Amino acid sequence: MIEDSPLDAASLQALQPLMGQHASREIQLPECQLSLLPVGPWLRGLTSLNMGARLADLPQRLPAVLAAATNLRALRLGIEAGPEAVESIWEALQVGAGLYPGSAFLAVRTAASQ
Amino acid sequence: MCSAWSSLSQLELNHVLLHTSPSVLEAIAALPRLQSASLTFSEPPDGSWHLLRQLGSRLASLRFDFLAPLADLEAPAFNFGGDFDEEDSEEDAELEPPAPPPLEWPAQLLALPECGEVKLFLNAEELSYQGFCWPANALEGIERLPTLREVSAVCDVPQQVWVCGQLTNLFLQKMRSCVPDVPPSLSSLQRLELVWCTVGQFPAALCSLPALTSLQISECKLHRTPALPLEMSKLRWVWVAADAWARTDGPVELNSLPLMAVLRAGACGSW
Repeated sequence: MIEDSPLDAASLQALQPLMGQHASREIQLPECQLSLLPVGPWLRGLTSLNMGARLADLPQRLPAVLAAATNLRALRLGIEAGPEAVESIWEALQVGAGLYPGSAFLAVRTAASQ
Repeated sequence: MCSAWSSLSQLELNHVLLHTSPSVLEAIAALPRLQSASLTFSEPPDGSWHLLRQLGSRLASLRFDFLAPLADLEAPAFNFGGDFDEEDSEEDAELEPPAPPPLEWPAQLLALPECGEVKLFLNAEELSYQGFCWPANALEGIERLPTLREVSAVCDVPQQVWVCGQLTNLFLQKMRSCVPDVPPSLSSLQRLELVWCTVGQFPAALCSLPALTSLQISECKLHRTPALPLEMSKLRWVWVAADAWARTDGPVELNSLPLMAVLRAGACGSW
């Protein structure tokens, strides 16, 4: 499990070993942006992902992550948007949602942009 | 709107106001494998209750997050004087503090008995600085919803919750004056958590809840050491944070507390 890392360049360098054969199964980085998560085969073993996301980044980033994380069962996103932006959030979630595996958990929470 | 999340079995949309978009609620109601949902509202979803009933009739668990109605309780503008005459009276009337909106939740919620269980999350945190309280009739009749199992509340809780004999879980955070002195009718309550609450004198009434098996008191300001009587011998799990004791009137010898008597009786699984 990767938890509460700032996910800056240095952290990513340190995380490189975890992106190999024995990749992490759970990532809990609610304060980090999904757009910073390196996409690659190392996500294949991931079953649980908890991250923050900018609404504008979702249409591009979410499909890429979902396509790589083929065993993902639980996805929790803290989206920078107002609570009234429900339609925009839902539309953003639709892109690539067909890639999401079965028996899955989706949690979304909005947070006002800083 | 077509939903591609057809495989979802659990969905949580926290702080996403669904009543502003019936089409999204419609898409959620159409998710074929959904078993559990947590949905957020600050106003009743006018015209969409049939969708919630449709959801409720097939879900094992449906949780409603109620945010206090922000838009209706904004601070009124001030009138900085000027002669009062009849022409101004209408404008002045518009500056009166707005009354809390009528809440139509209970009657609609009572139409959800087919759902496996209903959970309520009542969040008044964002309005707590204005002294917001849920209206007296906020959850009138909720005690008649047989599938209501859990209430979580932040900063304030409607009085009707204290007479919900069907509740099994009650979680209270940041309550200003939450625990009534009168004996509550929470005869089915199994789990009680008080976090960041100003409890004052620990209410003896809560100690005699017949079904209580789990009690947590943490980050609370206790004005007096709680005296938990031996009637609580059914407790299987107790967690009272150390700081709660530290904030009492003075240092407390743990082994002088009646609670320890309960522990020594072997009824509690852990400290």
